[in-house]
This record gives sequence, structure tokens and C-alpha cells, in this order.
Amino acid sequence: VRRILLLALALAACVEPLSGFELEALGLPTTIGAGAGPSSLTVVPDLDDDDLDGAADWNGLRTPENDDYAAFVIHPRAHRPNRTGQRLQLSLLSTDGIRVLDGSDVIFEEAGDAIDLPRTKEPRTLWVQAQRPLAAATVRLTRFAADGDELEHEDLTIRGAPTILNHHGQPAEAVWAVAVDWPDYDNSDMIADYEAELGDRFEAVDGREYGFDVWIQDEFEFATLSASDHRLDLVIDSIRNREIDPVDEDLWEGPGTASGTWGEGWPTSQDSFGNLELTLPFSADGTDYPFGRIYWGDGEGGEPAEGLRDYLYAQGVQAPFVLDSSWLCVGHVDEWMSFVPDATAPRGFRLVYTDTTLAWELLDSLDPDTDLPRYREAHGYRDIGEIVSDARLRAYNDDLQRDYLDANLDRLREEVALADDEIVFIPGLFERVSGCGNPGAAALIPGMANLVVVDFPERQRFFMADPFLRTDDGDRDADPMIAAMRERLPMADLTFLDDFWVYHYGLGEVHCGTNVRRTPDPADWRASALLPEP
Amino acid sequence: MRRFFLLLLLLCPPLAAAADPPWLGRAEAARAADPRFAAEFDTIDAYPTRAGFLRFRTEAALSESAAPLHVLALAKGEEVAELRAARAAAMSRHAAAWGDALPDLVAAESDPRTRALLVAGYRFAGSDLARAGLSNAGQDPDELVRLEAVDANARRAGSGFPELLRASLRDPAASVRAAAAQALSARGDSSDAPRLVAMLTDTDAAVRLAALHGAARLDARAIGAARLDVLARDGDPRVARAARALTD
Repeated sequence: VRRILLLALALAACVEPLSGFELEALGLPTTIGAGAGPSSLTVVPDLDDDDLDGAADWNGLRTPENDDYAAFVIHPRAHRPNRTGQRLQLSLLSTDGIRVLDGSDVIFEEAGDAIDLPRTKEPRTLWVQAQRPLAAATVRLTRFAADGDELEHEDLTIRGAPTILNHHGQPAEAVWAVAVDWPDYDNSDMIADYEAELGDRFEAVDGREYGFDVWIQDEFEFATLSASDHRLDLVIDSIRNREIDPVDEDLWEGPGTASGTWGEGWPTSQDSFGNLELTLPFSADGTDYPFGRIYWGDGEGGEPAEGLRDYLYAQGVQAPFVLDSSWLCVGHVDEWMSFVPDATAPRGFRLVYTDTTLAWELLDSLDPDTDLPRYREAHGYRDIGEIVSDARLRAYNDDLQRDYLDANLDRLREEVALADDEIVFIPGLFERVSGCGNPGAAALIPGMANLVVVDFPERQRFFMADPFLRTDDGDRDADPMIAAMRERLPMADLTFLDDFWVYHYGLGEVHCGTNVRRTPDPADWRASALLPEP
Repeated sequence: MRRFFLLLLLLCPPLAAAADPPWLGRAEAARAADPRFAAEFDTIDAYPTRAGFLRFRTEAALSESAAPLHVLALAKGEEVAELRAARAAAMSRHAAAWGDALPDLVAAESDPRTRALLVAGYRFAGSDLARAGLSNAGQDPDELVRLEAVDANARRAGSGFPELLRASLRDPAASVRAAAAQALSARGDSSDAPRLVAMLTDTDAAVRLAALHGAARLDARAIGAARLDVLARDGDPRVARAARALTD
């Protein structure tokens, strides 16, 4: 009986699944497998410089400071059959930018690398490092019979986390704008308002250090790469390369934040990142977009650089789509629309969208003798009467509305499955910019859809351009456009910033001159699960 | 005797040169009248817009007081083209007072963009100056200048020159034809509808689109169901969309 029992136990051991892998990502063990089939592991690419040696950590030795690894554990139960003379082997079946380390030693770097695992009663932890987003590898744990025949195996698929661009629904952590305070170029009122509203979560970048290039949104796009409880911020640095370009190296690069540039060639306006925006997360027609969708404009300069487009498409989780921004002098998608969070909306967000018809309705209802001091020098209109009586301006805006605003909205309805109650139309007018082509449009009334969402947990705020549709600069309560905005956007506290001369008259608005670091959704690391098999 | 005159010309160049235009004297006088502002003005710089080109960004630099100083700088013609263009944009708002400088400045300007921004000033210039200036600008070899002429003409408060807009309907550049079609329709003269209807077969889609909107604005019936039916199947989606909207 005893022999029979021993034989039965031995047989049971032979057919027991390997269940050899346990995975953890830096202190958060996750048991995957246990007979449940292939396992997968997401690792944050080691793009940053945790040890401050001046190079991305992928290129250096493993140091205690480096935290961009994920671990997997060979569970001791995988060795149990060894008493029968079987052999347990760990091998790297394939790799594209993934290496495996034992302590600080690289053990697997090329496909075919393999080690025999000595029997032990202790779990054995190995570490995984990724060179870049979407790096991929497969590690195989194989049990061989004493005669060398393979009995069974268990695979672990490893993926470098994809790059996920941040959207307006993510909590803001820090906000930047470039401060200029020269007599002939001065945004100190706007900077002071930001400081008053956001306190130490706002940082003014000294414009003198960066050639007075205030367009900090256009140069950089914040993204995150996540794996379980670990996160890396990635600053995508545009090929625009104007004076503000070194800010990522000076302010942001370091432990936990990397930067990189994708694309090459002579930059066009469409390579600026006011032309690279996101929806909020949504589901439509059975497809989930848990990280939102990317959109950019196809303008006079075409679409953004091919290398960047390819990179963003390849991430596979934010499905970019294209809008028509060719009608604008600058040609950025942030000039007429923004997606904003709204807890009262059916899907948690609304689209703020510029509508010229609404603007005419509002202007036509106002006293035509209302002086508009700001518009006199900037746009050549002394009062509201001169705007509403400009037949050419009306025809111009009517045509833009039909040919571009409505057409782009149709596209958005299709791509984002927008319902009518998810759209908030706000009044806005455009004019042709002298020296630009045709239509060559830019905001005539400061573009309020070109806004920044700062949703610190305690209070959601939208920062937008002061429209100055009034006689007295200092009396915002008398501004009918501000009143209209407050009525249409009750979901947030609105802060109107004086961006008029530096930004608005420079063909941009508040969003163009601001950048925000945001917290990724804790579930972002699951993004790799959405990717197709490597 | 001939040698004597040559010597006289060499010794007295002002006698040989044409007399200074009146606007130059006025501008110099304006500068001399307010040396403090002139000194302040000389420190004002222009800064890049989001589109990359320069613009002055203070109310002072765009003010009526600054206009003669920009005019003087443009007359000297010593600055780089980007800065000249910014000055042209800044002074153009005050062409009601300084429009007489525009013909000379435009004629002397080699940079097309600066020329275009000067021509934009005819939106505000006196009627006779504007008619002649816009007519000349309509013959400019550069497309952007001709486009600016259409825009400035169209935006003149209540006193544009429709005959110049009609001439621009035949411009070789599609952007100019499209702008002219839109501008003409904005005037609301239904007698222009047939001209716009004739442009519905233009080879350029942007022109067809502007003509379609323009004709509809003036007299939708003039387009005719048959033409609308053809345009509803236009290869350009915007034209087809606009035609279908009119059909509906």
C-alpha cells in the first residue's frame, strides 16, 4: 500500500502544472499563472536617469537608485519534481529591448540565452529591464525529463509599458507658464493670477532664460508610462525646437522623468503640441478607450512629423484621429475646442466647442456703442457696432462655421460618438490674420475654448482667456461674454486671465502658454493588456 | 557747362533728388514733437507669435502715436524683413492718418509679406488713396499681396470698391479668387450672383466652395437645382457637403 501511495504521489507531481512564475513589481507581488496559463508582466522602460550619471539608466549598470525594474519570481514549487531527475530551465525565447537580471548581473540579453535552475526551497527573484516603450520578450520556464525530452513549459510575456499621453481628466500636479515682464512684453498679470490661484503648485519659468518664448505648451507634451504601482513621466519634446526647448532638461529630466523627441525634419506649425490633444476616456460601439483618444490637426504644414505619428499610433491604446486645422493661421486643434471633465455629464466629460453663431447672437444683442478699447489697436474695431456691421467678417465666420467648425464637429461625433448633450457650445469669432493665407483664421475674441483644466482634488478650475468684451478692463462683472461663459460652464470655477497682448495678440491663448504635469489613473499600467501580442 | 552741372549735382545731392514726400516731414515732425515717447519707442521690440512671425505686443507700440515712428523706420528700410513686417502691421491700423505713406512704402518694399501688411492698411485709408493703392496691389506679382488687397477692400467700413473685387475673381491665384468671391457676396449685391454662379465650375475646390456659399448668400435660386445636383457629387467633401445642405 505504501509503495502504491508513493507511486501515486510521484505521478501526481509529474502532472502538476509548473506554476513557476510569480510576478511582482517593486514590492507589490502578484501571483499570476498557478496553472492559469501564460503570464504577462509590464515593465516601465528605463528611460530616466535615477542615478544621475548623465545617461538613461538602461545604458548603465544596475544601481540601487534605479527603480525602473519589474520582478518575477521562480516559485520553489516549480522544483518539486526534480527529485525524479527532471531538469528545470529558464530561457529567453525572444527579446526586443528587454533584458533579464539576477541581482545586478545581466543573465539574458539575447534570444536563446538560458540557465538551468538549481533546486532550492527559496523563491528566486529575477529582474526585468526594458529599453523603450513596447519593448517585448518572452521568458520560458521548461521542465525536461531525465532523458532530455521536454515535459512541459510555462511562458511569461514581458512588455515595456506603452506611452500614454495625459488628458484633462487626470488630476493636475504642477502647472508651468513662462513669465515675461519687460515693458514691451509683459504677462505679469497672468502670472500673478496663476500664483494666487494655484500657490506653490504653479511655477513661473523665467522667460529671460529662454529667449522670451512663452509657448510652453507647443514645445512639450507630458505623458506617463505605468506598471502596477510604478510610474515614469515622459516629456515628449517637439521638433519645434524654439527657445523654450531646453526647459525639459533644465526643469524636468531626472529621477522619474525622462524626455525624448520623435520625428525629424524641418518643423511646421503642426509639429507644435497645441496641435496634439486628447479626449477623455470613453467607450463607444463596444470599444473602450480607457485613456482617451489622441487627435491632431492637418493644417497648412500637413500633419505632425511622421516619426511622431508612427510612434503614437504604435502605442496602440489611444487610437489617434485627425481633424482639419487648415483654416487657421497657426493651425492647432487647441484653438477652437477642448475636452473637459464634468461629473454631471453622461460619460463624465464634455466637449467645449467654439460656435460663431452664438457669438453673433450675443453681439447683436449688445449696445453697439459699447467701446472696446482692447480691440481698437489689436483688431481695428472701436466698438461692438463696428464688429456687427462688418459684413465681410460675418460672411467669413459663417463660412468657417459651415466648412470647418461644423465639419470637424461631425468628425468628432463620429470618432468619439458624441451626443448633443455632451457638447457645450461657447461663443467665439475668428478673423483673417493679415499676412496669413486664406482663410488664415485666428481668434478675434480671445479664444476661451483654448483653456487649461487644473483639477486639483479639492476644486476643479478652468483657466481661460479674458475676452475683454467690455469698456472697463477692470470690471469683469460687466463683461457679457464672461457672463455667458459662466452660464455655459457651471461644472468648474472659471478663472479669466489677461493673456491679451502676449498670447492672444500673439495668435495663441492660455492653453498655448501653459503646461501641466498630471497623475495617471492608477489602472494605467493595464494599458499593455490592450496591446496586441508582440 | 556740362561739367559744371555734374559738379553741382555732386555737391548738392538734395537738389538732384526728388523732394521729400509730405508724409516723411510729418513723421519726422511727430517724432521731434515728443522726444520722450520717441526714446521709449526705440526700446520697444517685436516678439514671435505662435505662428513664428513677429508682432509688437504693447498697446503703445500699436498706438496712433507710434505710427509715424514705424513709418520712419520703414522709410529707412534698414531693418530685417521680419521687423519691417511687424512695423507694417503696427502702423496699418492708423492708415487713416498715414495712408499717404503707403504708396511710397509699398513701392519701395522688396519683401512680399511686408508689402502685404502695408496693403492691409488700405482698409483704413482715405477713399481715393485706397482705391488707387488697392488697384495697384491687385497687380502685385505676389499672391499674398493680392490676397491682402481683397481682404482690406472687403473690410473697409461701408466704402469698398466692388469693381476691384470683381476683377479679383479672375486672379490667377485660387486663394485670391476664393477671397474675392466671399468678399463680393458679403456686400449683399444680388447682381453679383451670376458672377459667383459662373465660378462654381472653377478648377479649385476652395473657389467653388466660396462661390457656392457666396451665391447662396446673394440669391440661392440663381444656382439652380441642376448645378446643385452636380456639386452635391463634387470630389471635394466640403463642396459636396455645402451643396447637399443647400439642397436640403
